[in-house]
Amino acid sequence: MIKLRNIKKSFTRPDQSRLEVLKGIDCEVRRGDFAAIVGPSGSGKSTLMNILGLLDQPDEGEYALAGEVVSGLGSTDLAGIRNRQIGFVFQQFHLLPRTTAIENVELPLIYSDADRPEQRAVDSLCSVGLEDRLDHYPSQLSGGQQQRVAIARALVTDPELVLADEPTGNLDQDSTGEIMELLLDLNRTGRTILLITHDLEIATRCSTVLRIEDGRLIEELAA
Amino acid sequence: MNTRLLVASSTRVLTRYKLRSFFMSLGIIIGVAALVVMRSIGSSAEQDMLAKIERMFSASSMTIMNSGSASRAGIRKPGKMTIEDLDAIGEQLDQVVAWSPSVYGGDREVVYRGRNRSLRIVGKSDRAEFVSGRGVIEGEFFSEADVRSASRVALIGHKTAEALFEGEDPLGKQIQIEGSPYRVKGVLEPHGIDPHGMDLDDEVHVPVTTMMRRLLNIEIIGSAKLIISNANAVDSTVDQVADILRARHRLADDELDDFSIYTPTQVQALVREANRVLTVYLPATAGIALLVAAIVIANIMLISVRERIGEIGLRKAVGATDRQIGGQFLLESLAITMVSGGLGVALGAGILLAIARTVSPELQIATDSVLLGLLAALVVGVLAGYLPARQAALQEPVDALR
Repeated sequence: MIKLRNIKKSFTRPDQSRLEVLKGIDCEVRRGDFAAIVGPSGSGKSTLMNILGLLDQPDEGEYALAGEVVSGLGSTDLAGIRNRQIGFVFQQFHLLPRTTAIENVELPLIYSDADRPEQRAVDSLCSVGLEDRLDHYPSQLSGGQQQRVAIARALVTDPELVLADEPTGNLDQDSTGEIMELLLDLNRTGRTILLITHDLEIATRCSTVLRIEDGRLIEELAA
Repeated sequence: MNTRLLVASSTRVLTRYKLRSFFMSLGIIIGVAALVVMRSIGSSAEQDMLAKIERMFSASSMTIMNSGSASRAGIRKPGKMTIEDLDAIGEQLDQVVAWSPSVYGGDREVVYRGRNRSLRIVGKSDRAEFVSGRGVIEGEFFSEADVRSASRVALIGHKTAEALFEGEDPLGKQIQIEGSPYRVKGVLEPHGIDPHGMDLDDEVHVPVTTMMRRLLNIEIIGSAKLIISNANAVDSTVDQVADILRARHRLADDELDDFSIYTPTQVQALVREANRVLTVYLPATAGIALLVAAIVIANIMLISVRERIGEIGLRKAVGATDRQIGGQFLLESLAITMVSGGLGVALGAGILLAIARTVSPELQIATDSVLLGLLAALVVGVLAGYLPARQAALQEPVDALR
């Protein structure tokens, strides 16, 4: 599903010195994997996640997604791939305020050609167990419910790959359990899931664990 | 892309941030309403004036003023147009089917049984009924014999009749003009106020020859109106008439005309020119309100782009292209200005209706003012939305999501 070869990325600090964040990452995630990326803060895992999600471009190296080389594509092509093939789940949920659950879930369909968007949004919300919260605003939902709306939004375009950046980082114990169950269910139905997390307990439930330290991949554990 | 959903999502933003939308729309509503009201009042005034002019100068006519020559090197020659000049024109030019001279005698003392009024006296011929399109509602018009013999008869406006006779039947009664007796022969058709503000219903007409010989003791006429057989021949006839008059007045080639000829087209163009203040410059001041509105909207939109940077990042993450993001913000700006433009037109129409009901019933909303108002709203929407839309479009998704 994902093939990375020698991915490098650096940023310019305010004092003009270069900060090398990724120092040459090679890895492969197979279709149907449930992979966790773990590592301490500042290790470069968020940068890697942004590159994997096509939100950012590497300075060097080659990235192939579902067999297609995507590094070097223009911003319009990248937007299309994000829309069709990738679903995002963020730590801060990133739901639009003053916008109902259905309207939030519909958002990716604005940029696709899918027919019957309302019905797809409803179906997607039902699949995460929010059939009785369709018209609620984010402010009327608990953290766990908000994250489930976000997952429904990630699923509404039926992507093969779901990227989740600390999806349980802002949630309590119970909600964390619910969200993990939901992601595991998704994986069982065949979706490839890539999860960034601090939580080693969560990582142990994944099929593959990629450990990053100081911009390099130092371990690749298959469960 | 699903355009319907994008439009729905953009308009949702506007309805759910009501206060912000209200402040963005206020300037447009006021500006467009002002534009509609001022433009409509201006063109109503112009229409009114043009209609009056059309009544004075029917399309297939021309008017010759015995104006004298324009001043050149400080010398100004007086006019010398006579009734004989008109007869010569009528004989030589087949397309001139009728002509009628006028002589203004200024304000004169008019007395009936001790009641006296100072009234404008005008000398007219028996053909004025046809040429000026104004006959009598009571009694008879001047006859050819009245003009030939310079008889002491008069036609009076209906307001003059009311003021002087106070309900008595004026026909056949003797009035005194400058001390001489005149017999009232008829009451003129009502004609209202002319474009110079003179009340045409409060004046006295006498035969033109009577005016010239008895009241003024002159040989020249003040002006003449000619009726041309068809409206298309008016412009070509102007030159022929001028040639005849120049020959009869023995003007050398280097001398200026000692008369002026006006056609209805010229007069209407003059009126339109004079009315530009009402129809163009005054409505243009509404442009200032709209400019301020554009600046306010652009400002609020720029702030809103900064506030909604997370939303922009998210939309890009789920597949929005740069163009679609820019398009969304432009659409929001346009939605605000077009809806406000519509409300502005409605407000303007309401104000016009109120004015029409209370002050001037003939006032109408000008169609072009509505189109102009909506066009202005469109232009403001694009101008005000462009910069914010561009800023939103160029946002890097990874920066916007941080």
